[in-house]
Amino acid sequence: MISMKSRFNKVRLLFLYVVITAVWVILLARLGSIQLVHGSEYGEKARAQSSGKTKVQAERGIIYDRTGREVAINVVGSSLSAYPRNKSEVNKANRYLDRINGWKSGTSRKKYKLEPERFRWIKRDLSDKLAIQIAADSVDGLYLRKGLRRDYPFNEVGRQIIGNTNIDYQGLSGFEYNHDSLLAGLPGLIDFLRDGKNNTYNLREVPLVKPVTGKSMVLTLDWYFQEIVEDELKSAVKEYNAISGTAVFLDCFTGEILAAADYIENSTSGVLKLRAVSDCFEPGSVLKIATMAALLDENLVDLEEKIYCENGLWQCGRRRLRDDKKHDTLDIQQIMELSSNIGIGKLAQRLGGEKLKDVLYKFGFGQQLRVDLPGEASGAIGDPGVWSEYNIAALAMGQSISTTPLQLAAAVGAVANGGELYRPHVIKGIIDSDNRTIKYMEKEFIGRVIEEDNAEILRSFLTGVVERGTATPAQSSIISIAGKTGTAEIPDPENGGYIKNKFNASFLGYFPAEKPRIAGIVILHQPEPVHYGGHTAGPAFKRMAERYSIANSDLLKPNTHLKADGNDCEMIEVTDFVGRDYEFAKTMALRDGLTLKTNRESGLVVWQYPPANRKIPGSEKIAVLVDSNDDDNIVMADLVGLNMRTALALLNYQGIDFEFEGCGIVKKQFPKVGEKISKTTKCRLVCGNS
Amino acid sequence: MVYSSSSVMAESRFGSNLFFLKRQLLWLVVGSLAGYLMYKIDLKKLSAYSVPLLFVTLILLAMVFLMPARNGSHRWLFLGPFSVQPSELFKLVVIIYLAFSLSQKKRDITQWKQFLYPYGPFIAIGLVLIILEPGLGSAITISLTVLIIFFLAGARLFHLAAFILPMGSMAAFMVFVLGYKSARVYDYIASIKSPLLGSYQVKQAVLTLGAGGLFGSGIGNGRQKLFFLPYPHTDFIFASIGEEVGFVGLMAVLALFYVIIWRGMKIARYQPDRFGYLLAMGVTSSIFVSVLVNICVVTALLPTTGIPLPLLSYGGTSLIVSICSVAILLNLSKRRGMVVR
Repeated sequence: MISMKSRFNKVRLLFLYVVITAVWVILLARLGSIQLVHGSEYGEKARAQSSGKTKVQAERGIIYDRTGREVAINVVGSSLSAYPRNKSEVNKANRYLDRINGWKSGTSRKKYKLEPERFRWIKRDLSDKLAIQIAADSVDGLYLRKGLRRDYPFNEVGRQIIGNTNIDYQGLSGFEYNHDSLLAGLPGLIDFLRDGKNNTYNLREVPLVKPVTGKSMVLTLDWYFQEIVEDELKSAVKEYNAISGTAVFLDCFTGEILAAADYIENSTSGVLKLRAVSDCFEPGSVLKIATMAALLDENLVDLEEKIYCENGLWQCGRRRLRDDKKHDTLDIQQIMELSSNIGIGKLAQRLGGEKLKDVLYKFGFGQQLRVDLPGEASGAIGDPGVWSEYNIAALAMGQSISTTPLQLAAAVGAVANGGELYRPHVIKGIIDSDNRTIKYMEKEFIGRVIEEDNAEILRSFLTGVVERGTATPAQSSIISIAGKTGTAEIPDPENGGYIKNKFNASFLGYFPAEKPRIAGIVILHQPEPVHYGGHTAGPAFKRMAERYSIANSDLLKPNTHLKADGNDCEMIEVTDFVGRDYEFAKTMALRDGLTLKTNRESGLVVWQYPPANRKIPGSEKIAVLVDSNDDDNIVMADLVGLNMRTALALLNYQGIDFEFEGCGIVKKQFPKVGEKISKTTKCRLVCGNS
Repeated sequence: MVYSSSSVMAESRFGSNLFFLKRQLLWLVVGSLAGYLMYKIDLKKLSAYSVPLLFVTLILLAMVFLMPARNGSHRWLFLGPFSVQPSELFKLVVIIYLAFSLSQKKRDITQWKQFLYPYGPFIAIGLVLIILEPGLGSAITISLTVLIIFFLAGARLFHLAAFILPMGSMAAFMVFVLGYKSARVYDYIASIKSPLLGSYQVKQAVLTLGAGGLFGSGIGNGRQKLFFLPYPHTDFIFASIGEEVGFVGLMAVLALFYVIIWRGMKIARYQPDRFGYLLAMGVTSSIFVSVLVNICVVTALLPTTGIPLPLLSYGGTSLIVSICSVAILLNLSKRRGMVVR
């Protein structure tokens, strides 16, 4: 029993003492369990939440065109993401998003459905202004992340070839996809500390593993030409009421592809593949070039001989072969110029089917050219088993064979250069981030397709096609063009035979005719009502050649005044005006004997043509653009007196569409000097010789 | 330790990493003065005033409800830039009052009436006020301390059980039958076995301790205080210490507390009278209970209730009360020589 007399109860005190000691032992055991037994596990988890390693984006390689223009570059962009930790941060983030977006309250909640501890992207690629504001506001639960993204200075030009990257900076299509491993580089590693509010601190300046910048690629394409081709192809499809069009141009002597474009009218998805490489079609008359090459090389034709062309209807075995126009007798050259099916059909009988087929193989048809572009089709040469007269004639005029446009362009390129077939390609070289060349693509010779002297004869036929034959609408006053037209029936895949009144119109040729440099093909699918290749694809080809030649004046006809030589007059070196104040530039120009033409009279000069250090005739005027900082308000520059090349370079730089009459020096311009214009304005120049 | 665990938060919240340290040093000066007073004062005389003191603290406890809430609870009285926790004061005053009252010669604690009537009402009022703050942790600490004092004073076990059992069974009924906050309770039960399943606070505390390992990461090197561990300088300072000095350091901390308690009990044993004995034991057991509850929370043995670790946690009232408690023990130890009977 408890004694009230004693000041304390020994048993109870002892009991408490034991309890306390036991509790201490338990606490120690618990601590041991947490810190020692599970210490490494918990420690690891604690470290994982407060530190980590993260990948550092490697910069993607740049894509350049053949002249060194950057066509795919990297820019730093900011992205906004949300990771609210609790309900109150969700609400804060929603309120903030409503505010900066100017939405009525509740919109953000519905739109983003933010939840605590759930990551969500809000907006990628913020504008700089917005990013700075959001960074300054630093709202709990919202995080800014800086990252690289891809930018294409030429916007959609050439995108069918270079493709694009996805939002995570990885190649998604085209070159960006096919050469992703090359372009992407290797990500680096960085270790960082993070606090409970999700702020991160880099532990060191230099990352643990440095990212390796991707390799840059130099393409054989000329982006200005690419732009011209895309532009003209689109207008041709619209003008001739075709459903789509394809064009490809290459350098005759190297096989380097200079431009390749596709346009599909009313396409909902855009053109995802490059049909110049990936699609086959029945070429029709343009193939007669190869047939004629075979006839010439086999010495089976006499240039003087006349062929009876049956007045347009040839009973060929059990079938009939027709010509578009009735011809009585034609010589060899006329057969090409007027594209007589009967004529070439009869001549091809001398070759025989097998021989013809062999030559076509030699030209690169019926097989992949192993181009460095994805999805290349091989095409096929029909094998009828029995080579009847009709079958031979059909093959000779480009039926029962399917080819890619690129195969045709390469073939005509070979004829143009004297008979050597080069492998078409788009990669010129690969360089690293220090501009050291890693790989340089030499031109690759595939084989000879025609003897040099025969190639010359064949070229004279092709010049005749444009001068006198089926392609007279492709004649140009400033550039000589040669080639062959094609108006191919479209095979009916369901019923056999051909679809009635539907044609693929094409023009396969090269320029300049007398000294070929560039070969190419333009195909318009199902133009109507005019469906002749010479009247549709031909003019389109011409416009492409003309516009390209204006920028590359050495291609122009010798008598054209655009040509920038003028050895007879005094040559002046152009001063560098860029970066100068216009007033000062004018004084400099006066000193050096140059005349300036501009868009406005005050401000900084941002662009000039011809560029500094180039030697020009003293009479040539210089175009300079003065900065306006205002894309929507372009002021029409003074172009009168400039030569056409300079004027077009200026309009091109400003991104203004143009058309012109005549050539030489700009005489009149619409709109007039100082008028406000926009990028959609079409500028018209009237030119003439001074 | 307060500095190490609070500097980052202080920097972030108040722009100076010394904010908490400066204030704690100020409280230390105040606490030392109060402690010196407690050391010098005649405790018997003081205890004579314990009844009015008790009323004053009860009024203060009621007054907290007039004050704005902080962290969702009314625990503080704000006096200019400083704040006071009346519940801590209440704890100390109750101990002094009980020591005074139970040592009265006429008091027969074994009698039910004697046991219940004088003490029941005001302890109940105090506890209810504290629970309403809500300060469940403080209430539990005070209840346990009071129970230990009654136990040592010789109350009948049956009487004590009569107190505990209805409360316990009521709580169990509410939780398991009515489902009141049952999810939290189940969480708690699960978290004893695997602490990472517990609440965010418990999980972080356990991770913090685990990160310390045997020797810790070194003073100042803890990372969990970077806004992962909540209240790293107050309720969870034990975990903060554990991360920086490891198991070895915490053993030392526990050993020091054990020494304080052991010395306290020794001082109690040698008290010449029942008042000294009960006061010494009251103070000692309140330190014991606070340490026990705090560490149990940090090591996921008890559900999270915010109570400070005596002498170590940041917090003015807690520090002053802790220092006074120790000072009372030192004061009592002076009476050792006065052996009576």
